[in-house]
Amino acid sequence: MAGASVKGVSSIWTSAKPLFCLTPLDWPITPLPSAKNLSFFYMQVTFKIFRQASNRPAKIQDYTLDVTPGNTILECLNRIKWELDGTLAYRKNCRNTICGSCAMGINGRSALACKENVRQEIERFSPQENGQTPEITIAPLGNFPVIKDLVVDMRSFWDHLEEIDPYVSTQGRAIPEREFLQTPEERSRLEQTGNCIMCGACYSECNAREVNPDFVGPHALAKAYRMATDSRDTQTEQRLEEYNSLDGAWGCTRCYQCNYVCPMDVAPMDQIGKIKGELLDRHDKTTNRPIRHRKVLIELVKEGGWIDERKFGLYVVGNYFQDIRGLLSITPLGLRMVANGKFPLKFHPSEGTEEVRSLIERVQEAERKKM
Amino acid sequence: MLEHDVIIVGGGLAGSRAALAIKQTHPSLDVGLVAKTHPIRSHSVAAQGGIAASLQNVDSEDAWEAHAFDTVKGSDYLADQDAVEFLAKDAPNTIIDLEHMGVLFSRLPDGRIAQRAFGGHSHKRTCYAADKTGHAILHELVNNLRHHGVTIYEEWYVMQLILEDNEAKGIIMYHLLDGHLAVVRAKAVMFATGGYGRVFNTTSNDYASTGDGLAMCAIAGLPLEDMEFVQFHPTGLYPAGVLISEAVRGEGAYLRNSEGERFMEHYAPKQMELAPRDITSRAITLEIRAGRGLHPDGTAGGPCVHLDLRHMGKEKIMSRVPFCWEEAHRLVGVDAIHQPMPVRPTAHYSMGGIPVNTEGQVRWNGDTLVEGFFAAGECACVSVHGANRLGSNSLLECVVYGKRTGIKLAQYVQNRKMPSFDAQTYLDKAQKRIYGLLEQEGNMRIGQLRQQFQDCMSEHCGVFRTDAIMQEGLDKIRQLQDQYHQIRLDDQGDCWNTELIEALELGNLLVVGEMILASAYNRKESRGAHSREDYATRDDEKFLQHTLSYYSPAGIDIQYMPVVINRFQPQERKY
Repeated sequence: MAGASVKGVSSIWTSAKPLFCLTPLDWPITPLPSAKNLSFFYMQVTFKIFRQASNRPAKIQDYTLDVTPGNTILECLNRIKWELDGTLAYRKNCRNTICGSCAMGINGRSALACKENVRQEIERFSPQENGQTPEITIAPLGNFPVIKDLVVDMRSFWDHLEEIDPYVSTQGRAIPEREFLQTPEERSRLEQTGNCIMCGACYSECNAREVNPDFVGPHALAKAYRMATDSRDTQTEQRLEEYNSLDGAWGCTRCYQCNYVCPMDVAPMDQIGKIKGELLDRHDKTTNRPIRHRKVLIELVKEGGWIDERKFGLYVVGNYFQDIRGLLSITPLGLRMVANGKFPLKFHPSEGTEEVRSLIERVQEAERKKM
Repeated sequence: MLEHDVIIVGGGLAGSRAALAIKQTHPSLDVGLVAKTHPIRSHSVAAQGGIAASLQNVDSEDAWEAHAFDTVKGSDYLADQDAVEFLAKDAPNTIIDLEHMGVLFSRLPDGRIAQRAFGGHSHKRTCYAADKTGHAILHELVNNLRHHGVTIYEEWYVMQLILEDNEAKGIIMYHLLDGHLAVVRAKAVMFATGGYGRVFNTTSNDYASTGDGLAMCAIAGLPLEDMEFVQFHPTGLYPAGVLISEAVRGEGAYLRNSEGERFMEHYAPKQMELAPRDITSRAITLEIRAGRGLHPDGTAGGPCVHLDLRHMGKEKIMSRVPFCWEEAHRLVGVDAIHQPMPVRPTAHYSMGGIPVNTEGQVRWNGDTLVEGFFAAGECACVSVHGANRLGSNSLLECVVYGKRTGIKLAQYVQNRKMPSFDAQTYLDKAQKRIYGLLEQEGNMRIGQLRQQFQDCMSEHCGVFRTDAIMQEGLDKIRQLQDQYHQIRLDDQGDCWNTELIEALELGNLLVVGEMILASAYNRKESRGAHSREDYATRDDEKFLQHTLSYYSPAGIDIQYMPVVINRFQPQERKY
């Protein structure tokens, strides 16, 4: 590789054999040399790829390539496979962010290999120092068993999708000869979830899935929201009941990871939040602990400006002294707190209680009007 | 041995719709569906612009006859008019059917399905879901597959069609997961294996579009119809080749050359940018040849032209064609609200394919059908597209003929026995082929041979063709075919060996490429997408007929079959 550095451009961008996958607009660094020359630049990058056979420990293999900054990660993987090592396994298909095949761990977060490019990865994760060769790390998705290298077993992903009945049901509704009417406004509510490509990035990052193998996952719940909201579906109430559990909407821990990694801006956590909202509107606090948790929280804050922790445990977990097992489950904690002098014997309402209460009431009033 | 009443190969729109049609009409039938990717990853998912139907939601003047006429005229009169008639008549029902199934179409203010203009269509009849129409339809269909109890074999690669005595009996398939080979026996086999864009070096198609189904048919001795007609979509994003949907022009974008001129006024003064794809692709190619193309930096003479959306304004761009904006931004750093996109023609669609009748049953020749064998979608040639397909007719074909073929299949297998054959022989042969590839000691990587082949096809069978160029191409392809035995595989394993799959796919590409070239060489006229510089005009007297090409390792035999013309007499095609 010719090593001549170019004025105005960091020394890692070097002039060599022509590759025309670059346009001037694709170029990040200013000032630019003449645009025409730009297509002749490429750089050396080391790809550190997790490789493993099923049920075997992973090892990291390095591959160094000369690439252009506009190359997608998928194009780089293809060159590794086609030019250096045909044994590398990964999924790919459309190369255009719509088929959902090539989600993988790129520099520590789940992303589509066909969407991310070398320049962005290096700028974000491997800034240049002393002319070292920049590195990009590639790993399989998390929360899935690995089959080989970057290929994971997605069976649980599809099974969990199936659990939420991912098809619009018009059961019990007269099917018209023409289309069901759906206003652009009704349709626009489905836009975000309708864009999901089922790539698995959200599922891979989901913290709730790590602790609860029965939690259906962000992809399924985003789809669930779409189904419950679709104006043509007749099963809304049954669906919401189905999602009203710890394996459904209440299993989400609101860690934001799914929103952060989703390549299509589906924002699964927001959709899960909307399902929770629908459930809270329909149920009182006797329904289950997650609903009681949210309702009691608001009640107590209205009452005292902040939470009286003693009551919170007794009401939410102990269900107002009706749930004996719940009460027993928090008794040891209470006793330990007493023994250690940590148990709050008195509750002091917040000084701003009046103000907090009026704020909550105003919001509740506004919500009621919206409905 | 695995058994199903019907085994469908391919999980895209046509295959999925057929499977559902079978289960909806005869729930007790046992249907298997094999796909080399998960069905939801099929190339149908990438279809952008829309699906045509004379619903009259936007244009009350539209009618199925107008749709049929536009389709036949677009086909340069090579389409079979009985097939087109069914397509256009059934289109509105098909859309309503999809809508009832839950497909998310874009809507008009009154709640009905929205429709827009598309190239070659005389009325606004293209229904759409923003610019992700294929995605919207396929996700709904695939979710329903499982719901209806279709057995899905995902990530299985079909290696061979079992055809004995003019009767399809099953398939041999290879499991990517563990290298397991399986025979599937079925009362009927359906192919919905899609296109072959990967024959060319610049294509809008996904990696899986390698013409597997076509090659399997050809190798089994069945004909392929009209293979010379390859659609080059005018607006592939330069240089990647991915598609910038025709919807962008449907919504009003301009094509401009290096002088900033809307050059389509010289080629199709009435329809301008919304001329059919063959005409627009040729216009772009001629502009570039005349030195009025652009380099990416804007200087004249280069390899692309500009697709200009700027006058459409941000709101329209982001609401109607958001994905196209995103593509250009992601892949070439162009913000289409403020800058024109660099585009040039890209191999996009196969008008030809496995010859079938209007119920999807495969033809042995002009008169005889193959028992137990059906096909639909891009891999099939029914023929509704003739020499050139109109935009938003391909999704339609997949759904209309997928459904129709499914319904026919359900009836067809009612009184049919499970066929018998010696499975072991086929298994041994497939195993031997795999071992052969794994063990052959060559000096060439798959990628090298594939690149040479794709370059050869693009150079010798592109937008413009001549006898001499194609003859040279045929000679080259035969040399490249000889080199297939010199490829070497790094991966000798049996778990997720995609290198082996790529080798098998390359074998298919080499067959399909030769079929395209041979068919093109023999058609000495210009019609639709087949444009000959040495025979510049259409010759209805000699060539108003379908090509049937038969493969053999020794060479390709070309025959012809009449076109069904029962409504619209051929005229000169002007836009």
